[in-house]
Amino acid sequence: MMVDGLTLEVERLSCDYGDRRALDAISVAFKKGLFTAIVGPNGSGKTTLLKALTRVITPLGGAIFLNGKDVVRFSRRELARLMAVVPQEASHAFAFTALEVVLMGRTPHLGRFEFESARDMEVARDAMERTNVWCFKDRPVTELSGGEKQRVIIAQALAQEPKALLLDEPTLHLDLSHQLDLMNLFKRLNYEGLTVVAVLHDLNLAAYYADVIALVKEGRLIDAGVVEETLTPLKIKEIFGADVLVDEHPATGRPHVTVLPLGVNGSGNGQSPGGAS
Amino acid sequence: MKAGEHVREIEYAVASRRRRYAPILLLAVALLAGLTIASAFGAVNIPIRSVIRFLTEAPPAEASTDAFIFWQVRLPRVVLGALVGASLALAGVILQGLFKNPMAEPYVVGVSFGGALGASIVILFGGAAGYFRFFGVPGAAIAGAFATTFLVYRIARVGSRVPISTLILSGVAISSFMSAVISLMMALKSTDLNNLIFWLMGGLSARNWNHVLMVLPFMAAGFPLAMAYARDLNAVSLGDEKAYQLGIDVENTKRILIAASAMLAGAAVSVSGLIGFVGLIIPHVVRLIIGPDHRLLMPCSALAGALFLVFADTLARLILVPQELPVGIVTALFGAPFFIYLLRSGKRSLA
Repeated sequence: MMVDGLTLEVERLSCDYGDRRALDAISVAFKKGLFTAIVGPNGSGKTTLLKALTRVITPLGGAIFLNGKDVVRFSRRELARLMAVVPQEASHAFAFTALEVVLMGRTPHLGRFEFESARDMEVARDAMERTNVWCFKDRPVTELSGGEKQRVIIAQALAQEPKALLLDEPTLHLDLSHQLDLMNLFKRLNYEGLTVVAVLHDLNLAAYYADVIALVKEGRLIDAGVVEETLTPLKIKEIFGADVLVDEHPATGRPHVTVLPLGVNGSGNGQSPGGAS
Repeated sequence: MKAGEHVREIEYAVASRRRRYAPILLLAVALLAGLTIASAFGAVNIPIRSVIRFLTEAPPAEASTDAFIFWQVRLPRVVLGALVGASLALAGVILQGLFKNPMAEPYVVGVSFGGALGASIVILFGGAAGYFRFFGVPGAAIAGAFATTFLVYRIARVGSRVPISTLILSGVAISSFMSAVISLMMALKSTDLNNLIFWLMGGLSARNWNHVLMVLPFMAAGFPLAMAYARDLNAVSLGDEKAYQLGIDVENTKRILIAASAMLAGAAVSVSGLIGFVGLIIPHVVRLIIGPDHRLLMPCSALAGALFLVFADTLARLILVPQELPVGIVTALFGAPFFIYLLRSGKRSLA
């Protein structure tokens, strides 16, 4: 099943969060079919960017284009058919079953008085099988573990049949094996054509899974490009203020970031952390 | 083999979701039976056989006392009880969904008091009887309920959710304030106080077809409005952000649903005063049985709420024959302990 991905372009986008400037005329593009990781320190505007992309918040200025069309010219329902979001953690006020939660992902495809058809059920089932949650479709989500809940929400996002998947640190609250399961799933979805934009905390997950890294700090884009050019000790120092060693991971062959304790100089790949005192 | 199994499982899943609509039918039948039986009991008991005869005879031929009591006293009261019960239960469902808190309810939240304040203003200062006053009382009650719901939501919410602690505290504060204003107005204008006090206690005695007519348009508008946004409410219960990302216009949905719940709760208050806990008990029990899907929860709660209030009002008529108890006392006797039970059992997960 191939999906024709979505290209998301952000142009000089500014957003306020309370009295703080969260995004400061940021421009960045997430190309069709690529897996882009957004990396940056806490409070750098990563989550705000995802909220602005899905129009949960209204930006002060700037523009967003989806496949070249201004985002304000889409209805909310149209947007929900193009982009689906996986948050850090889902909240459930009521004990909906896993299947009911996933079927809510069909909302943007259904008319006000329309009920889910066999086709909607089919889409929900496929989504649930991909995330391995069909086996507990009738269990209340409130009784599921954190990892299971997260997989249900991912299935809901897939049931929207989006062209882009936006992830906001989707594995933050999960243990190691669940983290990898989900990241592998996202990568597979990406291979099938889905554009993936992921806010990631773990630089090594980003290095291993992403095609492109967007480095963000204080609401601005510092740099964007392939992993080898963006996850360098110099740039990481600039963004996070930490000295790191970047070498090639012996097993994956991808860049590997190790945070160095104070006063240790890294020299992996012949690079040394710039400006270390 | 695998594919056939797949198709069968999907068909089964679709069919089992359709089958869930059986409870609506079941409750509707139960309500009809309940209405019939309840019309038989009161200070004067009418044989059920007569009740059925009255209802099925095409032209009401009989001019007996029983027939008069049935048509002019009992039936309007029972029908009004069903309308009020349905409205309060549905208003409870809506508030719980919007506040993402299963303890919300028109009475607990203070919305009923807002409605009572609105209605009191028109009752005390509304001038002579007439069309203006006839629809002015429920109209003002609805306006009061609407304003109060917004107020509570603004005061009590944390993020997109209204936690129990702030919900109940703000409910207490708002109810006390509204009651104080009503008392103040009554002190200023000391006529016809007995009626007003009795109305505030929440009762259905001495209600006639005029009362049914007075609230019917508002309730008839509130029900379909709420139902039209049932699925949106499902999405909103996942959080505002998620609801936006599922394509819902969250702010608009909230405004419409608050208007619908105010219409229902306000109209109910304007004819029957302060009847508490129907909107708490009913949605909770119904949710336990059929699940939280609002497309099903709304109609089922409305029917169950109607049945419950008709039952409670029948008790209110029978406990102290020939005297009557305000039905608000009966619902509070059931509801307040239930409320405490919910508070204790949900303390960990809901706070």
